[in-house]
Amino acid sequence: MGPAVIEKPRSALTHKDASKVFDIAAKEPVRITSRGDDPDEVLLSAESYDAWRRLLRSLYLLTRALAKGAERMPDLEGMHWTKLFDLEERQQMLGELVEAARASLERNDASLFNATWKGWEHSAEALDDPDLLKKLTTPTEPTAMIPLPRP
Amino acid sequence: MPARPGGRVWPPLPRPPGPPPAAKPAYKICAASKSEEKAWRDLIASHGGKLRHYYDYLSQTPQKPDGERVFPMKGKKMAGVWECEVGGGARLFYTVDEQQKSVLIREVRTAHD
Repeated sequence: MGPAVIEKPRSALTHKDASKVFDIAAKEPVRITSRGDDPDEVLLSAESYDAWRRLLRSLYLLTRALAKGAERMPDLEGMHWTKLFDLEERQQMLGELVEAARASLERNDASLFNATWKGWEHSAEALDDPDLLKKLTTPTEPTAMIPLPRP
Repeated sequence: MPARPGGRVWPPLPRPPGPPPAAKPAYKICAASKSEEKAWRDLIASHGGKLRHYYDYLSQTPQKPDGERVFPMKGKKMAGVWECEVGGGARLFYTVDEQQKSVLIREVRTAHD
């Protein structure tokens, strides 16, 4: 399971066009293939590496949450914020995160999972902040809208 | 590259530096209140380049996720609310009015908020 990964020979890193390999790696991982018994390596941006680290941490929490079930999820360390959602929402959250993990793995894109996680976690922050919650959910009359300038 | 009748080739001129021209916006970007308008103008001063990028993005595709930067909020109460992480801790919270074709910025947050 998993997408095709772009491959480049190790010599590409010392070639005059090496910057092109790094340009690709800024967007997606590049497998650097080696000759003989030397192991292949993977080149990826620090931003991408950090995103996969975040995904791994969240997956750890998700695994524990799945083991305990949606009812007990708010009792788990690192998941207390889920108490701001009702049981039905927590069940929906678990389902969405499992699906997002599958999509991230399939498309080699950690942001799919991380954005879903952030969506839930940041929503809990908003639910826990009465002023912000009011701002985000109060209906606004079209006449009250103020056009904003393009920066 | 175009050539003159005499055979001389005119090199194309590079585009002058500066922000690219914005495509015709599909959505207008609005603030929900005077305080958000002020916060927006303050954000221009501190995050001008990144804010321009997301102004253009939201004016075209406000309900299209963009990596970890633009994503929908979750849960029953947050249905229809989106978040845009501009960068450097600055965040926008907004809703979209399809009838008015507008993006309503409901909250502008900086790293200091």
